Amino acid sequence: MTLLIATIVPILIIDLPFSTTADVIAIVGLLAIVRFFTALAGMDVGTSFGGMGASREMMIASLAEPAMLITVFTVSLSSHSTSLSQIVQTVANSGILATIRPSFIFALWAFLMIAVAETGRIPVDNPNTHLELTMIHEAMILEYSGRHLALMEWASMMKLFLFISLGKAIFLPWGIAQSDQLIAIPMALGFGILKFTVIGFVLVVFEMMLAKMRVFRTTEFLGAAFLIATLGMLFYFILES
Amino acid sequence: MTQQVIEQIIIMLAAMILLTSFGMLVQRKIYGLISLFTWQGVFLAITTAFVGYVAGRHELYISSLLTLVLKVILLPLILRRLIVKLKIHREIDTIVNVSLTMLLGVGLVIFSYQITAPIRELSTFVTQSIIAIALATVMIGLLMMITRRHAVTQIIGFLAMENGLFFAAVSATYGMPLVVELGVAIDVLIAAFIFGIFFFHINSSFESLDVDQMASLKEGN
Amino acid sequence: MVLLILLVLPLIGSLILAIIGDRKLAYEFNVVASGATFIAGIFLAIEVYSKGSLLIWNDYFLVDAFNVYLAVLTSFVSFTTAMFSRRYMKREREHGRVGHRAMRFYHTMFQLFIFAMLLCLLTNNVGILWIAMELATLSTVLLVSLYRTPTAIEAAWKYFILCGVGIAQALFGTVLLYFAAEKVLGEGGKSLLWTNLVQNSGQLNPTILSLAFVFLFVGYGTKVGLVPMHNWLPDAHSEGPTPISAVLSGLLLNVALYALVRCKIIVDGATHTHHAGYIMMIFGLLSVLVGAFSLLRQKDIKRLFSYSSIEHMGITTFAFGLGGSIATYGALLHMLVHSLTKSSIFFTVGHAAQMHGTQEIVKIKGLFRGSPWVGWGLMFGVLAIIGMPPFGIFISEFFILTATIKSAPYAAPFLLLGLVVTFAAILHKIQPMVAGEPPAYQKHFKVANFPVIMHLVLVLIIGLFLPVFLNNWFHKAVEILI
Repeated sequence: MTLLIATIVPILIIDLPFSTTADVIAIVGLLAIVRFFTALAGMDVGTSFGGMGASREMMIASLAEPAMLITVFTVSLSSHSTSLSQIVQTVANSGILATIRPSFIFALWAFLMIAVAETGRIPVDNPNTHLELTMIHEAMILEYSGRHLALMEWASMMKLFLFISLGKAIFLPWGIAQSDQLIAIPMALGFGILKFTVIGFVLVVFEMMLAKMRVFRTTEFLGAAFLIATLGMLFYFILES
Repeated sequence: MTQQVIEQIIIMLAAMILLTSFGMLVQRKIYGLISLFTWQGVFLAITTAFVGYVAGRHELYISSLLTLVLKVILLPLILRRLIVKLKIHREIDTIVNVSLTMLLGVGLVIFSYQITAPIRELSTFVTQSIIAIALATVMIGLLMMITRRHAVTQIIGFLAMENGLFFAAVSATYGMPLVVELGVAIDVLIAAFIFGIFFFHINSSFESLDVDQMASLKEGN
Repeated sequence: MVLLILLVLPLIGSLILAIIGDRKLAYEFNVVASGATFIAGIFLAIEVYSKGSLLIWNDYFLVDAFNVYLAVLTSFVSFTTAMFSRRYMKREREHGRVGHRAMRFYHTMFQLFIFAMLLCLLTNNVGILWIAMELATLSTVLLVSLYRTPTAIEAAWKYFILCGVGIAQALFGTVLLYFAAEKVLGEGGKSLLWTNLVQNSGQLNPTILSLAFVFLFVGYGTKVGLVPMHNWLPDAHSEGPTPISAVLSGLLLNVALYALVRCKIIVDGATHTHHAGYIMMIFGLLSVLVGAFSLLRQKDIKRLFSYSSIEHMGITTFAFGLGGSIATYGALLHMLVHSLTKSSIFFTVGHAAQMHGTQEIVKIKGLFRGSPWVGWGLMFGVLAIIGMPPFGIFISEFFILTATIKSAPYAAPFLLLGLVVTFAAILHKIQPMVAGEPPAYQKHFKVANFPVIMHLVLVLIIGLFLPVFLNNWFHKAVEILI
């Protein structure tokens, strides 16, 4: 499932084979299917921790999805399309100074918060914890081992990778290959690796500074993300049109 | 810096001002409220200075300085001294729950956008889109006064309203005449002193600053 | 020159009283300062009467027939209130209800309040009008809570918050007014001058001005005590010391209505419709009805008369909204006589409450026999306020009713209903207070008779035969307002 998403998100090039068929709303939907199956896997086990993890995951999902959708709408407003390649092209072509707009910055902020929630990093969920009652994602895969566990871990790592590339593509697309020239692809690769390094570094610093939130505080966290996303959308209409 | 970049920065600062209003709406800790109010004052002062630069009105620099001194330095100082003296360190409850308050806030933003439509049509200024944000700040300040139970929060809501009004004056008319701005600032300062005195009275009389206790004067009494 | 003296006198008085406010002669000084202000006001009025409207000091101050009569009224009523306050507050100080610092504060703020009201009336600049209004509110907020009881603090808090919110809306309305004016008159102070705004009102954008009027109405209407923004009024007017209740009810409401009417003139010139007038009529009528029916449930004497103030302000607002020369004349006359009558009622009520140690209606009895001056003063005051001929209020209400039946006959039944209910309610509540045997706990002391007598005699004279100069004065004011 995550492989399918990988074919849609433009990591190196804009003109992807599937780009005309899939857009950001489809990505959100696909991510939802991924989460659905993970939750089922958690409940399949039969222990109570699996069910607990599944229900917590669903609670977070129910709050994060609307926020994600609004963020997606906000970024698609300025490029007048929900096709991911169109969005990336619009932002890449407009130069760095043009991104100091409230809708862009607020969408970026909301996306960061949602990304943290969706991929299960601190401060929403600790991927390295061994305390079962604080787990959300780990609780669902608690009873798995061997190659099944490897597949699950690989899937969650890919999810993180894809989220970061999605964020990179929408909000930091400069350097991505837009033409058919062969030289453009290694250049895009170079820029991509640079961006990944920076983002990885920032991620690590944040994880170091923050502590995990109580589970009931995540609702406020995601509520704030929803508010910021909504404000971003409103600001587009009020301030920029 | 070019005109366009400054205009973008002004719009961004306006968005931050609205964000601080929302932050104050849902913030539960008193010191957090005061910090958010201080930030709102900072953004307001910077915006005023930029608008003065873009529009070429130099008295806005004086207004900006006035805002800085009054709302970033003096008022938060007074509030903090009051809180220390009155020994209020607890969190504050809200009357209506947080999500509903936020939704009402968003609704007020849309409402003020609709109301200020005629102004937008007529204004030829750089800041014509910001007047909606200014009115929204005023309305959210009002909402804050209604949905909170603590006296300090009500006062901060009142001050947030004054911030919004100052912002409205700057964005719609490039600032009222300096005499009027000065008078308004003096009024705000006097109001600050008065509510400071008030808090002492309320605290000594009611032993707490929970406004719900002051509900005995009703009809038929 | 006279204007400067008029404005500076209360300021100086306030500063001096800040130092000597609790000494033995402070009360007398208060009376003298207010008296001097009144005399300055009369000089100013004579100047305006002979020369017409004046624009003073770079157009910042405007003195025309409309506001000079209100300025004279303000200084007169504050003069008589200072006389009343002398006896009343001396007694309160002896009883220990007011402390040493509180007395100094009271006297200082009293004069400052007079200054703020006079500034509000005489300025030509709409922005300074707002500032003076806010200053007037702020100077009385802490006076309402002077007694430091829980109910007084609550009343003052409500007053502060509700009026603060209201006045913030009025500031937004003023900003919108300036916005519309800047397009036509250019930036700077002259776009806020009322005379300029009225002269050019045809060119101001009507949509913006209607929007501005809504905010201004909510803002200044809160200060006038119009329903539904009236919640602070009964509490604030009943919990403060009686002299403050008298000036708040008698004077501040008038000044707020003055501000509203000035704004209405600008808006009418710009929109050429009657929307502003209709808004004032509807809310005025609503205030009359709500005020009248709330009177029936009151148990506290000062709250009773606060609701009566709401009702009378409703009548005046309705009349100003109605427009036309008869209604406007009636409204101007009503502002005058209501101010005089209401303050004299508060004087007598204050003494009655002091004599019985309580403000509850059921506990105050037998005033005719116990203390005839207070009893008969209250009775005549009540007869005046409910609109009995030959007192002045009958005349103004008659004018207003006549104009209503002529121009807006559908509103007349509501107005009449309000007036009749008020008549019955107040009379019914007052009657046990003045008649009957005085109870044992009634105390007697020297009361301030002179202010009460003076006010009631004036109201009687106005009712019986309106002096010629007053008549001319009102005619000139009506011309400004139409």
